Amino acid sequence: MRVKKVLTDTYIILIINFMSLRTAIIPYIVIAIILPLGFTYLISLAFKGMITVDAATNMLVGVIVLSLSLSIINGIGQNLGQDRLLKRLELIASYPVSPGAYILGVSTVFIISSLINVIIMVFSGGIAWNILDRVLRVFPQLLSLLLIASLGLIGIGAVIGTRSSSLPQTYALTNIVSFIIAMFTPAYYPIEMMPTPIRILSQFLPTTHAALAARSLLGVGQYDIVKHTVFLVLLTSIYLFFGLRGIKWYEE
Amino acid sequence: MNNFIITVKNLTKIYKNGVKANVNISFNIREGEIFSILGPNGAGKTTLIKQLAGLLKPTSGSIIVSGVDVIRNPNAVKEYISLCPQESAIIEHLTVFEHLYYFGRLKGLSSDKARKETNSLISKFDLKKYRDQYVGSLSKGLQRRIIVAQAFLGSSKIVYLDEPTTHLDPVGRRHVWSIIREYKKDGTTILLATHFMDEAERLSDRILFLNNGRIVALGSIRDIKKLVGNYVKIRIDAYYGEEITKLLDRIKGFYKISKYSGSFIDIIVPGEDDEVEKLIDFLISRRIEFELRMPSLEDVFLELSENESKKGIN
Ligand SMILES: Nc1ncnc2c1ncn2[C@@H]1O[C@H](COP(=O)(O)OP(=O)(O)OP(=O)(O)O)[C@@H](O)[C@H]1O
Ligand SMILES: [Mg+2]
Repeated sequence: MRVKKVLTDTYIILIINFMSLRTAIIPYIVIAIILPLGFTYLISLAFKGMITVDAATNMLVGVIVLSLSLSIINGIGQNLGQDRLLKRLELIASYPVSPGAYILGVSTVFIISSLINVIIMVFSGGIAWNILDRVLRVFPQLLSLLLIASLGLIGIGAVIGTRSSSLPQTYALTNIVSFIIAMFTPAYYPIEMMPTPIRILSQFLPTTHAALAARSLLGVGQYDIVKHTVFLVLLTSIYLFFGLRGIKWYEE
Repeated sequence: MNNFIITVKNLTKIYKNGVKANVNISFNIREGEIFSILGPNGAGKTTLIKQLAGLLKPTSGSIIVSGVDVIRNPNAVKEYISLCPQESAIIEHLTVFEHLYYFGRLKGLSSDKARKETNSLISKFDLKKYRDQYVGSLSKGLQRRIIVAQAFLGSSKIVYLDEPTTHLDPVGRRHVWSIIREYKKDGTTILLATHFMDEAERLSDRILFLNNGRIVALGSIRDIKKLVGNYVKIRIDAYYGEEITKLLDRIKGFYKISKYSGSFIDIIVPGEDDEVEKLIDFLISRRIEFELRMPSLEDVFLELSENESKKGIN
């Protein structure tokens, strides 16, 4: 009975959030699909014939991490921030709805859209750079890594969205943090090339470990897949924990 | 008769920044009554309602709503109450129908029931014309009506309305008042927070006056009016101002000129019949036009808050 109510509530919150796409479908398509597609296409044009298979593979991992980081951190952070600061949360929390159903509903929107995102990019990049068969061989593992990284990004977005003190602050923080993650994840370039402080910082990003494990999976690096997967899961759990803890159903 | 559905004891809320928003508040609400929390901006009305709704943790005290210890179990109370928050927290990208329908689902209604109740609330609240429009495109007053309507989804036993008629035009306010009365007739207990005296005066069975987080008065409108003593207000055109002040000095009895604004004078007369009669006879004999008024809640409130702030100084 209770489980059924939580599932129904999650579904309703999910639907309510998806409904927002009706009025924002064009910007969504641009950000989630056209931009990354255009990006891969431009790169493949610019480096036609010059780009090696390994470089192309790195590029693909990089583009995916960039896109996930931008869309999830901004999406979750701003969504939760707005709900809380515009007091929509107060309305929802006055209903017999559990905070778990709320965050699950909101996150599922982003999980689904990042899944679509990853699939589109894998196929478009894979075809454009002629590495599709290489990617498809490890696709389930790759997808799992990226999904876990997405959960970590949801956690980071939630940390911002549940603690920022104003909307401008929410927007600034989500933009800065998503940019930092996109830049400091060693996706386009080997981690060894990074200056030490940034290298240390990058160790705390779930995307770093996802990217390194993914590169090994794809045969363009000799990183310890198990070790990085463990780090990925650990970091993701920590960020999720602090993100979810910030959701207040009972204000102090 | 005295079936208390809400019991609040020694409730105190001090915010992190040190603001004492509620100070040692105790009261009971009877099943089926309209109970109003009345007070000026910042009195602590919203703070009180949020604590009663299981949304805000009190600093100390106890709250029992429909048998549920709200402080120990803040989520359980949500099965019995509906809240219309003060600020229209609206989801702009839903249509009016969807807004009501999905919140009905969150209330636990089946899709059939949610659809039915949504349609009936849409017609009850005069929203038919806007049924399929995005709520974000509607005026503040219309958005307010949706949030108020939403509080009646799922026929909760207890409905909290925090300033339900802000942004509404006079016709809209009266319309909402009549709907509130209808629900009361059906047995719903209503807790209303408002700073509108007329709203409280028209709707409430009992009123709790709040000022600076403290209870100033509690009781029925008649009880509260008695608190400040029995008196009558006589309003006279300011044109007669000088004549009146001179003459009031001469006739015996206690009179107090409460207001000497540009256009009128209010004379406060103790409620004893002969005192009032004396003054009225006098005014008639002088052919002075006047208006006789019983004290309004507003007068009472002003007087009570005045006493309260004097007490604070001493
Ligand atoms: N989250 C908060 N943190 C700190 N102080 C607060 C908070 N919310 C309200 N206050 C303060 O508590 C006091 C009571 O506020 P409250 O909103 O309960 O008043 P109110 O009677 O509802 O006023 P209004 O008529 O303006 O809605 C005010 O002094 C307000 O500034
Ligand atoms: Mg208020």
